[in-house]
Order: sequence, then C-alpha cells, then structure tokens
Amino acid sequence: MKHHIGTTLAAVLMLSIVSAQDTIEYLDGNNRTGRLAGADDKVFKLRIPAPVAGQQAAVISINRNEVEKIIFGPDPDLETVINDPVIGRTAFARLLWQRLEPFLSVPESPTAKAGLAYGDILLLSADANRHNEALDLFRRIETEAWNEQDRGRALRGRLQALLCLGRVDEASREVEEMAARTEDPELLLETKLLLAETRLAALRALLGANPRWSEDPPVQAERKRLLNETLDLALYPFLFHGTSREQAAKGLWLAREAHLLAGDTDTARDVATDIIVIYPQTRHAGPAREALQEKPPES
Amino acid sequence: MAVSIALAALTAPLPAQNNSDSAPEAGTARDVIIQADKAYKEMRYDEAVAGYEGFLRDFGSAKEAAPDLPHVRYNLAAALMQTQNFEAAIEAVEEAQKLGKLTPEKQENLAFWLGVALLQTGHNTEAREALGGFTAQFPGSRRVGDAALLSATALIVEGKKKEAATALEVIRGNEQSPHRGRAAVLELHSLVETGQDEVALELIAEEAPRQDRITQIATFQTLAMALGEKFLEQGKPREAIRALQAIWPRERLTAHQQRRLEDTKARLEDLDAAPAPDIFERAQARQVARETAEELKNLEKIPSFDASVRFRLASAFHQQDRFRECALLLDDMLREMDPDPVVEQASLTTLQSWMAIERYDKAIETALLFTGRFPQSKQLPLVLYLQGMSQQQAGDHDSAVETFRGLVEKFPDTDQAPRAFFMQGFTQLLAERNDEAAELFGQLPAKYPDHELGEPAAYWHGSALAFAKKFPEAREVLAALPGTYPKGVLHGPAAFRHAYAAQSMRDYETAEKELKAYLKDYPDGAENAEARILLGDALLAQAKSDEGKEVYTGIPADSGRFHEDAQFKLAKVLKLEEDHEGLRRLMREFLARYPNSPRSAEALFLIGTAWRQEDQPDKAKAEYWAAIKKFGNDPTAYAVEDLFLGLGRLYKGDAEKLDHLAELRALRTQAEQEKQQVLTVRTIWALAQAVKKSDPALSQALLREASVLADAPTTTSAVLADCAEAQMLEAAEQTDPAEASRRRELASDLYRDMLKWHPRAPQKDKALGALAKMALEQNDTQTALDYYARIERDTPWSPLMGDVLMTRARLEVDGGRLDEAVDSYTRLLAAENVSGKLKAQALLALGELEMQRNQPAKAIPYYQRIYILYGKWRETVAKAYLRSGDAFEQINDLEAARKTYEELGNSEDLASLPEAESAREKLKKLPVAPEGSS
Repeated sequence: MKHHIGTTLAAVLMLSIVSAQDTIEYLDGNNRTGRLAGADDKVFKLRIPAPVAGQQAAVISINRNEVEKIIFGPDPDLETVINDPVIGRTAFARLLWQRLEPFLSVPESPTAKAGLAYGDILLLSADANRHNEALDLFRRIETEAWNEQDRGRALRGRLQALLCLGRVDEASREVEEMAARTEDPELLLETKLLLAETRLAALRALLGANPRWSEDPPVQAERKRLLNETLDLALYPFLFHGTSREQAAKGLWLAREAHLLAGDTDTARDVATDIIVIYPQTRHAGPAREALQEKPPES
Repeated sequence: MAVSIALAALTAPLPAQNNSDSAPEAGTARDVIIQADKAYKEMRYDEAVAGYEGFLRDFGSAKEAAPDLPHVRYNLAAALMQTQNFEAAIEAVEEAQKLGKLTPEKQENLAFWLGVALLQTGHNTEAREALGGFTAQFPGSRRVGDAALLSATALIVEGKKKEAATALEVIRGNEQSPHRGRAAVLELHSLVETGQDEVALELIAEEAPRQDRITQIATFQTLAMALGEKFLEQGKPREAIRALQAIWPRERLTAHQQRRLEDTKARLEDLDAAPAPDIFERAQARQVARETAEELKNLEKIPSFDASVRFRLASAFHQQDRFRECALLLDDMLREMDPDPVVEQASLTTLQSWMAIERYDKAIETALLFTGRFPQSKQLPLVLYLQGMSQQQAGDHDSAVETFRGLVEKFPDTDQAPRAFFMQGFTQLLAERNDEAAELFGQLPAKYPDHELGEPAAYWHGSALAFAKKFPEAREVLAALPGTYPKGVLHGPAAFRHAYAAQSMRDYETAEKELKAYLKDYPDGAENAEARILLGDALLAQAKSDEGKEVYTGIPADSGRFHEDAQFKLAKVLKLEEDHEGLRRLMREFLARYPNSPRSAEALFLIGTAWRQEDQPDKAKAEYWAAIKKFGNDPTAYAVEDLFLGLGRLYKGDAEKLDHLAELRALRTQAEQEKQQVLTVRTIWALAQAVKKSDPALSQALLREASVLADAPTTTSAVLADCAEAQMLEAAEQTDPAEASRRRELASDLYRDMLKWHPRAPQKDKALGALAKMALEQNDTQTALDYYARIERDTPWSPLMGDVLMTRARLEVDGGRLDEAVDSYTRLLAAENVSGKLKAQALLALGELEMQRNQPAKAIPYYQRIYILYGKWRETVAKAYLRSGDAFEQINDLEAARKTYEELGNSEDLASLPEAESAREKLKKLPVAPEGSS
C-alpha cells in the first residue's frame, strides 16, 4: 500500500511538473490559454496562471456554447506513456486518463490515446480485475471517442481484453465479422493477428482441458486444426506484408507461441530468430532475444 | 543505372541573371546583352547562348566591353549548362573563372558547374578533382552535399564502386542531407555490384524502416530483390528472406509513388505560381517528379513484381524445409496468376509442401486446382498420383481409389501408372476391401511386366487373399513368388505369410515345417518373434508341448508384446501340466519384468490359481498383498484395482470376508499414515467394492469419501467414475436441494476430471451421458446436445447410443430443429448397437414428424416398417397401426385405412391395447366402401 501511494504521488508530482498548455478559442475570436482542468455538460474548466506572481492559479469556467474549439497543447507525459506502455507506469497512465477523461468526445483531444495506452498497460497485468477494467475502458472509448481511428483501436483493444478474460468465442465471433467486412489492408492485418490470437487462446484452452490429448483422436484432430489455423493467420503479416514490421513481428511471436504449445521447440527457435534477424527494432525483438537465451525445455 | 540515378542531381539549379530591366537599345552592345538576358530570364536558353556568344564575338575584344564581360561569361556558362551543352560549358566556365571579378556566389556556382560539366562529358577524374576543389573552396556552400554525391557518382562511373560505396555511406550517414535517400540507392547498388552482400543487407535493414523517404524507392526495392536472389543462389535463405522482406507489395509501392507524384506536382504548381519562386527548390521538385514518374512507368512494366518476390521468398523457406511458409506464400498466388510454366512448377511445389506438413486437405485442393489450370501439363500424372496419396492419407479411400484409377486410365504409359495401380490395390487393402485389393495386385504383374513393383504386388496379392481368408489361394500365390522373382527382396516375408496361411487353415504339420524353415532361412527376419509364437502354437496343437515350450521360451525379451504373449502362452501350458511351481515362477518373473503391464493382474491371478490348486489360498493372498503393497501407490500401475478385485475373490465365507475388510482397513490406515495418497484412495475404493453387496450404503459412503481425496491425474477412471456415481446417487436421495446441488456439482467435477485426465476411459460414455443429463436438469439444452454429440463422436460403440440419439432427437424436435431431428433418428436406425425397441420408437417418431409436416404419404412407410420389422414391441406396433390408418385417411385412401384398422382390431396379440379399441371405433366411422372397390 505504501508503495502504491508512493507511486501515485510520484506520478502526480511528475504530472504537475510537466504540465501542458491548452488554448480555448471563443466564438468571438478571443482565446484563453491555461491548463484544462475538467469539464461537465455545460462548461470547460481552465486553470489559468495567477495574474499576480506568488498568488495561486485560478480556475475559470467557460461555457461550452461560447467555445469555437480547443487546442490541446503537446503533452510530454502522454508521449512517454504512449511510447513505452509498461506495467510500471500503470498509476501514471491512470492519472493521465483521469485528467483527460472529460474531454473524450471533444474534437482534437488526446484523451482516447491516453485511454488506449492505459488500457494496453492494464492488459499487461495477469489480474482479471484489470482486464475487466480494460474491457470497460475500451468499450467507452469505442463509443465516445471523437476520432474514428481511436474508436477502431479501442475495438481491437476490447477484443484483446476479451481474449485475456478467456471469452474466446465471443472475441472470435466479432473478429470474424470484422475480418469479413474490412477492406483496409492495415486493419486486415490487425484482424488476422486478432484471429490468430483467438485461435491460439482456443488451442491453449483445448490443451488445458485435455492434458492427455495425444490419447484422444478427436482432440488430436481439433488440436491440429487450431494449430494450423493459428499458424496460417499469425504468419500472414510476415509472409504477405513483411514491411509492416510490428505486425509481422507480432505474428511471428504468436507463431512461436503456437509452436511451443505444439512442443516444437526447434521451429519456435527458428521463428524467434526470424524476429531478431529480420525485425530487430520491433517490440518483440527483446522478448525474442530473451527467449533464445532460455534453455529449451527438456523433452 | 548509377548514372541514371545520379543524372537528376546534375541538373543543378541555375539562377536567372540579368543586369537590367530597362528597355533595350537596338544595335548596341548593351542591346545585345539585354536581349540575351531577357531570353535567359524567359528560359529561352539557346537564344541566350547565341546572344552572349554574339556579344563576345562582336564586342568581346573591345575595351568598352570589358566591364560587361564577367556578367556575359557567367551567364553564357549558366545558359550552356541549362542547354546541357556541357563541353562548351566547361570552356565558358573556365573563361568566366579566369576573368574573376565575380561575386562569391557566382564563383561558387561556376566551381560547381565545372564539376558537373566534367562529369557529364566523361571526364570523371577531373570532375572529382573539380568537385573536391569546390568543396575545399566553399565548405559552407549548400551544394557541398551535391558535390559529394556527384563525386561518388563519378567513382561509380569510373568503376571504383568500393570507393563509391564508402563515399556514399558518408552522405547517407548525414541525417540532414537531402541526398541521403539517393545515396542509399547508389550505395546499395555499389555494394551489390562489388559483392559486399552482407554489408548491402545491413544497409537494407537500416534503411527499410524509413524507405518511404527514398525518392527512388522502387529502384531500392528492385536492388533488394536482386540481393535476395543472390543470397538464394548462395544457399543463404535467411539472408535472402531479410532482403526480400524489405520489399513492399506492388500495390502499396505504386500507391506510394503515385501519391508522391501528385504531391510533388501540387508543390510545383505552388512554386510556379509564387511571385519569386525558389529556383533551387523548383528544380528539385521537378527532379523528384521526373524520377517518380519514371519509377511508376518501370513498375508498370513488371506486372509480376509481387509474384517475383513471393516466388523467391517461397524458395528461401523451401531451402530451410519450412514447408508451411512456402505453401502459404504460393497458395493464394497460384489462384490469381495466369497459368504459365513458372506457376505450373510452383503449383507442384505447393502441393508437395502441403503434403510435407500433412495438410492433406490443402494438398488435394491444390492438386484439383492444378488439374483445372494445367490440363495438358506433363506433370499431371505426378500431380494426380500425389492427389491420390493425399486422399489415402486423409482416409478418403474411395476418392483415392478413383484418383488412382483415373490416372491409370488417362496416362497408361507414364511412370506413375504402375505406381497408381499398385496404390489402388493398397488403398483397397487399407479400406479392408481385401478381395478387391487381391484382384488388383493379381493383375499388376501382367499389366506391367518386369516392373519393380511386381514382387511387392505378388506379396500383397497373397497377403490380401489371406486377409480375405482365401488361404489355399494365398498359399499358391505366395509359394510362386520366389520362383517368379528369384532376385526379389520379399522371399522372407512371403515365406512367413505362406506358413501363416497354413496355420490359419489348421494345417499345423505344414505350418510347423514351414515356420521352422522360415526361422532357419531368415534368422533375422522382421517376423521372427511372431513366427516363433506361431510355431509354438503349431507344436502345442500337435501335442508337442516340450518343443512348444522351448520355442516360446526362446522368444527374446526385446521383442515386446510377442515376448509378453509368449509368457502367458507358456503359463497356459504349465497350468495344463499342473506345474504350479513353474507357473508361479514364470509369472513372478513376468511381474518383475513388466510391473506396469495391464496384464499383471492376470499374472497374479494365475499365481493365485496355482496356490489354490495346491490348496494353499493363504499363499495366494500373500502374493496379492505383496504386489499391492509394492505397486499400490504407483499411479502408473494400472492393474492395481484389478488386483484388489482378484484378492477379494480369494476370501470365502463370512469370516474370511471380515478378515479381508479388516486387512483392507489396516492397509488404508497405513497408507494414510505414510501419506500414500494413491494407495489410500485405491484402498477406500477396494473397501467400497468389498461391501458393495453386503452394505450398499456403506459402499456409497466410502466412495464419496474417496471422491474427496481422489486426485484425477493419478486416479484411475474406474475409481473416478464410481465416485461420481456415488455422489449422483446421494444427490438423488437428498431432501435438501442445496446439498443435492452440491453433490451434483461434485459429481460433475469428477466426471469432467475423468474425461480430462483419462480420454480413453471405458466409462467415457457414461460420464458424458451423466453430464448431459445434469445439463438438461439445469435447462441447458445446448450443453446437453454438445455432450451427446461427443458421445456420438468419441464412443460410437456405447450401449447408451440409442438413448443418446433418442434424447438428442427429442431435444431437436422441441427446439424446432426438425431436419436435425430427422438426422438423429436416421443415425439411430443405422446404428448397430441400438435395441429394436428404440429403433421402433425412432420410426414412430419419424412418422410423426412427417405427419406434423402434413406429409402423411411419407409417414406411412415409417409406420409400416414398425409392424413389419419390430413386431415384438407391441405398444409401438399398435400405435404405428393406428397412426398409419390416420395417414391413409388423410390421403383419402380409405380402403388402405380400413385394412390397417382391421389388422389392428383383429390382432390377437394387440387386442388388449387401447389402440385396438380405437381402431375398431375408427372402422365404424369410416364410410362404407362402394361396391366393386378394392
């Protein structure tokens, strides 16, 4: 608990030190600069510097119907979290999200990006409560974010959360529908990877439920089917869109996991080597390097 | 190529020069200069050149012209550069430089142009010197980067590509340089040309993530493809993949360059519209537009760009035996590409790759695609052969036979024809159609004389006849084999199979003789151990027990199940000979050698029997107890439960049975104290079995106790199933609903654990049935249907099958899924392990379904089948008669209805059933048939 408070305080301090400057432009052409401090249905709240040095900053309310637009200032805190969404930044990411939350549907606001980064971090946890929190968060962004691209990202995040929660069938159904209707090549890659994840999750569940699958021919056949589907889908970005580096590397990483589940450690190593050699700058290169240094499990 | 890449950079931006905007004065030297300047400004460079040259010719030597000379010479050089008259430009530049008196900016331009012009005229060394001089003289010039690039280009043109690569690397290393993209392309070119492939690969890896900034991105990617090709030729597939993975799909590349072209054109328009355009920027934009348009044109000329990349990538994976990647890469493409020899070969590779990873469904699909797209291909027989093999491996024997047959018919003279003919027979054998197989194998030698498959065909011909129990014919074929194929390799197996057939005919004398001959002639034959078993059997059948025993004893221990079999055959002989001590010794040896054998209980039973024969049951018990104590806690000793049961049978009479219980309780206590979990559960279970008849309630209580302690992975399925059943019984007897629910949950967990850890459990069907029933009790129909489907899939042998299908069909009817219900009833009728009673009920249900669908004519045959085939089931028969009569009435066949009711009403057998009375009532209500009707 002490540690938690410490982390939160550190995050608050960090936020307060590196604050962004936002500008509200009025319909009449005037504008005010400060730091957005909140909003409700009727007003935006802006913290403005004190007119006299040494006095406290004031928070003013500005009617929404008087506002032409808001120019959100650059936010180094947010950049940090987006560029390196690690579990150690959970509290910090939560604070960022909470600060920006009232602006989720305001055009040009970076709120959804803060929420997406926070959701991604929540999914890194092994705790189902956090996965549920991520699910709700993604769902909210998916419906309320002003930016279509962010809404799409939130949809994929929500599906990831479902997978983490073991709701594989639910996720699979939705991804299948998504894959069937998408024409966007980038989104197609994402859906292929999501589908691969759903198949991998199903495979993992199958093997968990059938530890002696090799004695059970119908389970053997199902295992083979899921393994093939996982690999076909996971390898798709690597084989057909090899220059989409992050997706290709992620697919290879999924393929590695599938090979490991199948007990094929040699091929898993081959695939990890592909990541290191072909995609050394991607997010999965580090884990792949670590994986190759691990001693292979004894057969 | 290097020159073309660099050419763009040579059209360096040239500023328009004019001294005056005032109106020209006709005829004077000033006039000439003004006209020339005007022409220059308006980009009529040839006119400008003519003007300046005219001035120099007419007034150049005049003293008065001296002040104008620097301007004229400078502008002449600039205009010549613009007209790309580089030879003349060199002279003009040098003349201008000699004059001096120019601004530093003009001196800088002249120095630069000299380098450019020298390079353009093939004076590469001089060009490099000039450009070097320029850089030294104007280190702060914005053209220093241009000069460096041009120097490197000169090196390339001179053939000094290694030096060029080094120079270009420096340019590429400058993140701010506008030429870094171009330098990357030229450096890559130089590296590839000079065989520095590994360095080239590193360059690709470094630049690929930001290659969208390279103007000549298509050239960059074409070079990457060439490098990939090189690596493939060098047998370096992973390096090839690295190079090839940098290449974008053509669509993305074209779209990217198209976008770049549009953006550049828009920028150019903006620049042209600006009041004072930046000439340097404009020239650069023009250059980008030209290069991009050129790349797009080149891309258009390579329609198979993606295919080329994919083929190479597929080859790289193929070289690494990564058949999945290879097949995936090629598979899609083959459907889309026009058929040509490359696609044809690639299709075959795809097919073979799918087979290599046992994706037979995909292999078959590819083969069919190949056949459709390349009907005239020379590879077609091979493809058909592989298709047949894939179908065979996928278990689709009928299709495999058809494919092989088709191949033989269509391509009788190919290498594949005899193989397909052979495989046709072999597939029939796999499908257990032995007669058909024998016929095909028998035809092969005549159809394909002297073929290498002749001998295998003869061997399988004989074997197939033996499998078909045509032993004399089999012997005849097998006996002829060595004579027909004197140099063959199957003489040994044929001799064994020949003797086997004699044994099967109970001709033990012949079998003995032939088996001995086989063992003598082929001491290392694969069938050696099996032959010894057969020989032992043949000898014993002729009462040659000593010799038989000797043969069994001689079977080596490393021959697996044959050795195990031999021990029990020997035991049988010893038992018959009443050699009790010998029998015990043999079985003890067996137990020591095979402690985890499922037959260890049988061995102990034989030991116990031997003791009982000698009237020493206590010693038998002692042997059992010793074995139980030794193996009781070993979860892999699967026969321990059987040992407990066998032991129990040794205790006779009430007193002994009480002793047995006491001993079991003591063992349980000991096991619990020693924390022998597996033995504890087994002992509790054994106690439950021991009191099952005498005290069923205690037995159930013990099983419930065991169920709490049982760890599914180390507990046998029999114990888990008994425990689950005990919990179910307890749940049924509970008056407290909460407790009943808890018991059912426990039972459910036990059954699910049993299924999880013992997938081959003989109790699997019962467990699935119980789980389905529990799901139905909770109104979870879908889960119940899933469990029923698993019973059908996993345990088709189950005696529960009839009930399962019946319940399933009823659930489907309730759910309005009538077609599925019809399927379920139909499967029930086809099943062998379903009682006649259930089949009759299924027929009745099918009839009812047709009646519900208002199809009485279709319902009638179902009803009729009941009273024709299932007369034993009176209630169902009576109902079928009555409903059949109804159906006839509905189709207005009143005579048939009358007859049906009469049969039911007059049947003595059915007279006591209410339907008989109903039939009589219906008869009364039927209208009287008109006279003459039949």
